[in-house]
Amino acid sequence: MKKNLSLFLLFFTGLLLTMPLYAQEIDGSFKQANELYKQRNYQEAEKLYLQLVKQGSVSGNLYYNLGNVYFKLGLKGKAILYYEKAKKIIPRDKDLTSNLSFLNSIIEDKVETTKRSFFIKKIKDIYDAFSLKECTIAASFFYLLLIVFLIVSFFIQAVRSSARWVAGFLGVLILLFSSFLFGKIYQLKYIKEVVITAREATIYYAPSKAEVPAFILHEGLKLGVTKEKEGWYQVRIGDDKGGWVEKDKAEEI
Amino acid sequence: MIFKRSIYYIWFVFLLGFISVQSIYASDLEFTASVNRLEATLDDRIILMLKVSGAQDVSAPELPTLDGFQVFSSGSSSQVSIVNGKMKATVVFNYVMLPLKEGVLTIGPARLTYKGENYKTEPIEIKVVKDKKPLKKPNAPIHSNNQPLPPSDKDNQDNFFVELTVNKKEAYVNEQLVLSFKFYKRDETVGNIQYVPSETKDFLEESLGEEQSYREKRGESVYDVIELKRAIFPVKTGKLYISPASLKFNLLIRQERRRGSIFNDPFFDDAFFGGYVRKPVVLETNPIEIMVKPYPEENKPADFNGAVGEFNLNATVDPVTVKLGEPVTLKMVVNGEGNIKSITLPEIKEMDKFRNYEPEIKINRMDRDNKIYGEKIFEQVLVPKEPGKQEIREISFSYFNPYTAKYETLKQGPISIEVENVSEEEKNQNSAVEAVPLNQIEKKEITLYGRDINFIKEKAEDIKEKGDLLYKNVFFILLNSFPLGILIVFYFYKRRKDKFKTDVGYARLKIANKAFNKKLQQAKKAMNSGDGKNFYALLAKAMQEYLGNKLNIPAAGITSNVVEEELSHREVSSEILHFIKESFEACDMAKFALGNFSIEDMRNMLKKVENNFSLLDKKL
Repeated sequence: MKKNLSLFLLFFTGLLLTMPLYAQEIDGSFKQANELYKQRNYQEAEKLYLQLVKQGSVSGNLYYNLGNVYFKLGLKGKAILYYEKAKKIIPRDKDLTSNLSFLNSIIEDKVETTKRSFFIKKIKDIYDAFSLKECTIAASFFYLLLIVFLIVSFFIQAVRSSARWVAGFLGVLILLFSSFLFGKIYQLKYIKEVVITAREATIYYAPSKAEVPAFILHEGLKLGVTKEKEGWYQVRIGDDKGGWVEKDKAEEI
Repeated sequence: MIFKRSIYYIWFVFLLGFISVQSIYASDLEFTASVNRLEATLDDRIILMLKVSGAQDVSAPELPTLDGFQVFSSGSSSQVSIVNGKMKATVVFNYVMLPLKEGVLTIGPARLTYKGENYKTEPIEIKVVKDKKPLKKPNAPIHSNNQPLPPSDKDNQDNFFVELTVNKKEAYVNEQLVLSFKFYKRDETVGNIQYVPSETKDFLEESLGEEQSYREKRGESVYDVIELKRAIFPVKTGKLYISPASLKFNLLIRQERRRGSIFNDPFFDDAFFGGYVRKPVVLETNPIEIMVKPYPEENKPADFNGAVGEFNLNATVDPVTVKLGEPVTLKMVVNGEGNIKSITLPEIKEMDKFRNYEPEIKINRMDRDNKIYGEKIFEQVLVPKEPGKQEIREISFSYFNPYTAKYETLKQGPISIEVENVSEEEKNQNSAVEAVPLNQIEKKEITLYGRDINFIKEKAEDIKEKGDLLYKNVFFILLNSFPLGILIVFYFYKRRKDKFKTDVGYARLKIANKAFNKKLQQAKKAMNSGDGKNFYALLAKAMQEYLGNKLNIPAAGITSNVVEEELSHREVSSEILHFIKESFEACDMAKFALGNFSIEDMRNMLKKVENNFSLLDKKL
C-alpha cells in the first residue's frame, strides 16, 4: 500500500512539471508591449508581440493582443488571422468572439451559414467551445471519475444500485469528449486553414499567374487548403468552388 | 379521350420547362441594373450599378442607350460571399449619370456577353423634374423656363471649352500630382455655373487654394480662364482612372428690352419681362488615366512608411538641462513637398532611458509653385529616468524621392541633455509629473465603423512553449493508464470474493488442499507425540474433509461407497480407489484397537496417504 502511494505521488509530481512555467522575462516583454499599445505606438507593440511569438511562446491572450494591434494598423486580414489563432486556445473568451465577429462583419467578402440542422449546429457549437487541451482534460477527468466510481462500487453496496445510471452518464460524457478530442487531433494534423492577409488576392484556376484569373478575394477571408504546390495553395471556397492562390497572399492559422 | 388529355398535359409541362430555361437567367450568371434613385431633379446625380453575380472574370458590360443623360464611369468593385457553403462572386460596375432634361427618361437594357451567352438587364425609368425650390444664391434667377433643355450647342464650341490636365501621367503611390480643371470662355456672359468635379476614388485629395482667374491666349483668341487645382495622391498601384469633370451653366443672351429701366434688373430674368434669355450648356472634359508604379523593393529602408516627395528633417530638444523627473520637449520637423498630412512620426532609437508620451502634431501649409509644400511638426514630451548626461541617440526619417526614384534617409542626433539629480524629497514632489498628460493628447478614435474593438488583455497567464500538447505528454498518459490497471486488479479481486460468497462448492474446492495439509500437520504432531489413536482419527478426518470439499459433499456423508461412486466418474485409477478404501478401513480399525501403534506404521501410512492423495488431486 505504501509503495503504491509513493508511486502515485511520483506520477502526480510529473504531471505538475508539465504545467506551464511562468517565465519572468516573457511576462516582462508582454507587459512592455501592452504599454506601447496603450500609448498608441502600434508599430512597436507589433514588433514586440511578434518577437514573443517567434520565440515560441503560445498564448491565447498574446494572439488576441496581436489581433488588436493589426486592427489598429488597418490590417484587417492579419487581425482576423491572429484572432483565429487565439480561438484555438481560448475559444470561449467573450472579448475575442466579439472582436472576431465584428471584424468579419467589416471585411469585403462575407461568409454566412444559416442552413444547418439545429441538432448538428448545437453539437458543432459545443465542439467549437472547447480547445484541444480542454477536451483532453475533460475526457481524462470523466474517465478517471468513472474508474474511481467503479472501484468504490465494488466495496460499497449502496452505491452499486445507482451504478448503472452513473456509469452510463459518465460513459456518454467520456464518449463525447473523446470524440471531440480525436476530432481536434485530426484537425491539428490534417486540416490546414489560411486567412487572406493581402489587401487583394487573385484566385487562378491553376497554380500559375499566366493563367486567366478566376476571381478576386479580399483580406480577412478564411479558406481551407486542399493542396500545396511550390509557392501556391489550392484553396476551397465554400463547399464546392476552389482555385489557386499565391502563398504570400495568405497565412496559415 | 383520357389518352389524348394526358398527351396535352405532358406537352404543357414540357413547354413550361422549355420556357423557364429560356428565361433571362440562363446558366449561373445574374446580370441586374439598379439605381440609387428613381426620381431626380436636374441638379441631382444618379448612380447606376450594373451587377454581375456568379463570376468575376467578366469584361465591362455594354452600356444601354442613355438618352438625356451624361454618363461617367466610376470604376468597379468585386466581392465574394459564401452562404451555406456556396460561393457567390459578384462584380459591380458603377456609373454616375447627370440628367440633361426633364421628363421620363429611360435607361435601356445593358448588355453583357460571357462565355458565349448573352445577358441583358431590364430597362429603368427615371422621372426627372425641375427643381421646385427657389435657389438661395444671390442674383440667382427664378427658374420659370418651361422649355426642354437642348443638348450641347455646337455653334458655341469655340467660345468656351473645358480642360482637365494633370502634371504627370506616371507616378508612384502617394506621390503628389496636380490635377487642374480649366474653364475657357470668350466674350460671353454666363450664370449659374455648376461644377461637377472628377471622381478620384483611388486618390487622396488636398485642395490647392481658391480658383484662379486670368486671361490666356489660345490660337487666335484670348480667353478668360477660371482654373481650379487639386493635389491628388494615388493610394494604390496600377492603372487608375480619373473620371471626366463637367460644368453646367446658363449662357445669357441679351434680348431686346421692351420695358422701362426698372426692368433692367437681371432678377426679372424671364422671357416675359424681356432682358436675358438663358440657354443651358453642359461641357465635359476627357477622363484621365494615371499609371501608378509600386516602390522599388531594393534598398528600401526599414523605417520607410510611405512618404513620397522631397523633405528635410530637423530635430531640437528644449530645454537641454533639466532636473530628474521633469520633462523635455523633443521637436521634430519634417518639411518639404509631398503629402505632408500622411507623414508618420520619425523613428527614434533606444528610448528606454526616457518615458515618452503621445506627440502633439501640427501641420503648416506653405504651398508654392502650385504644389503642396509644408511642414509637419511632432512635439514629443520626454521624461528622463536617470540622472547624468543622457542622449537621444538617433532620429531617422526615410522617404522615397520620385524625381530621382531613390530612397533617402535623413538622420538627426545624437542630442545630449544634462539631467540633474534631485533629493529624495524633490523626487516625491515631482511624481505628479509622471501622470500622462492627457489634455495634450487629442483622442481621434476610428469612427469609421461606428465602434471600436475590445481592449487588449493585460496578462498572458496561459503562455507556454510551442509543441506542448497535453495528450502527447508521457506523464499524462501514465496518469491515465495507471488507474485502469488498478481497476482491473480490483475487479478480479472482487469477482473472486463474490464467488467465494455465493458458490459454496467453489469455495470448498479452493480450500480443500489447504485444509487437507493442515489436518495432516496435526496428524503428524499426534504421530510424533505417540498419540496413535488421534493420529488415525485425524488422518481419517483429513481424508474425509478433503474428499468432501473436492466433491462438495458434506464430510460426514463420505462413506466408501459414496467415494467409490463419485471418484469412478472422475477417471481415478482403481489403485487409488483401492488404497482409499483400505485407508479408511485401517483408520476405522484403529479407532477400536487396543494397544500401541508403531511409529513405523504410522509414518508409512502418512507417506502413502500423501502420495496417493497428491495423485488424486491431479484428477480433481
